Amino acid sequence: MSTVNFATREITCKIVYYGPGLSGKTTNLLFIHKKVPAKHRSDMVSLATDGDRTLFFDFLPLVTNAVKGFSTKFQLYTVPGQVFYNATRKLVLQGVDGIVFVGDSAWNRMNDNHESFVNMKENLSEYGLIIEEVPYVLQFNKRDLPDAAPVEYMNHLLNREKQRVPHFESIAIRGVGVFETLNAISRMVLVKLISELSPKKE
Amino acid sequence: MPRHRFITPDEQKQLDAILRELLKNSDAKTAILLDHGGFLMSTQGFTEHIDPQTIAVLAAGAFSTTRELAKMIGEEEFTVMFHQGRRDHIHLSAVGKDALLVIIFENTTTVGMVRLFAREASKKLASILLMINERKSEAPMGNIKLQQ
Amino acid sequence: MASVKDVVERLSRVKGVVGSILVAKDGLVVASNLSVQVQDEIVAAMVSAVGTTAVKATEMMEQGELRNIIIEGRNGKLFLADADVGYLGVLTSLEANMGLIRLELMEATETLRKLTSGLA
Ligand SMILES: Nc1nc2c(ncn2[C@@H]2O[C@H](COP(=O)(O)OP(=O)(O)O)[C@@H](O)[C@H]2O)c(=O)[nH]1
Ligand SMILES: [Mg+2]
Repeated sequence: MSTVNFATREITCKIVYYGPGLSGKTTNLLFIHKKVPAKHRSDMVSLATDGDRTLFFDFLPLVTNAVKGFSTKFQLYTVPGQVFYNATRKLVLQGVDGIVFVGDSAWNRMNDNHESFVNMKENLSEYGLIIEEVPYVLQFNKRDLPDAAPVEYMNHLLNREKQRVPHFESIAIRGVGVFETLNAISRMVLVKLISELSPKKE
Repeated sequence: MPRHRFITPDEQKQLDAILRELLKNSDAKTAILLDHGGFLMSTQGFTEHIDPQTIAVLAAGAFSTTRELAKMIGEEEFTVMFHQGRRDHIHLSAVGKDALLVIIFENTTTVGMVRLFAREASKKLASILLMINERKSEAPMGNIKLQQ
Repeated sequence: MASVKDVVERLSRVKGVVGSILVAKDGLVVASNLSVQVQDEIVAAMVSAVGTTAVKATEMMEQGELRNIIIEGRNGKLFLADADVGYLGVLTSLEANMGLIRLELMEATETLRKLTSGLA
């Protein structure tokens, strides 16, 4: 749920990076954190286990001037991918405005990708949301892997809802495709917000 | 829950005023109003050396977690959480159906005092938030345009 | 206007009073001005236990609403009153003027009721 505050002239939207464990969600946020100048972001908060695995979420707030006359804040979250963390994964989705689904390109992760996508739809439905109503994009990460699955195959596996969505190839550890993905999803979220806010023409 | 939430300058003023009144009455240090998703709606009081946004996000996480715990043991909801430190303490309480109030206080006051006035503030805040949340999804003022 | 804290503190300055405390009905301290010898939490737990029992007793014996409780010890006295948001307790020395203390306690109770109306 985005919040538009006419007193502080701020718009706030929540974007969640979803996907199976180890697909590169945290790496996306780390790269964004590294590249965005400090005045446009706050510190990144990671609730992680000792082994660097996301326990609850990572959180990175960004400030942009994407909307005229407003300061636009994007709150980026990641979820823990491991299957048994579903309770916390669900909590992070609360009030989501847009999703980046980060898939792992390794051949042996295709099942995990698919399971995670199905799990995302289930969790959304717990909040009364259906995937067609939530702006989302796909990111096929780890394109540098020698055994990366073909993009066509990953689209066939994950991009099969009624409305096909944009997909991005990325190598998150090197930052390739990270900002393309972020720009696309933030634009989609704002376009939707604005179209829903504008007085309907009769 | 509505898809979007608008807060007008007047509503913002009212929310801020309730938090300030709460701080005055309870002698607490900082008050933060947020929703279950971690969205910050108001911060009043002492905010030096703290990052209200991060506190909001973590508090929302903590509250969601306890709510799930409550469900698991067959409780509807825990409405108040209290974290006791050596010098600084945090009182976390539910406001209406989808908001939370975080109060940070020192040993100059007591949990009992904070709880007393948090209850009063919660009631007032909830009625304003209800108004905000029930508003139809149409911007109350002007058009919003995307920057190129 | 005085704050809840002020009201409790003012009581502690009445002649003969050694300490004052406001305790929520579940035993949580709201405000206290006790000397260091007596621990807040212990007094609070006792105050709420005595208060709750006394309220029940007056009700069951059909003596109407509880006005106040006075407990006399060899070294001092404890006065208690129901202030809706909690029990207001006053510890005094042996020589304290009971009439004065009761009056001050009643007045403080009234002020507290006004300050916190609808909060209990
Ligand atoms: N080869 C390769 N490894 C990556 C890439 N992106 C992330 N990784 C690695 O994958 C592992 C898991 O990444 P992480 O971001 O923690 O995954 P998360 O569980 O989705 O948050 C880490 O060791 C990363 O360095 C990539 O594009 N290529
Ligand atoms: Mg992670």
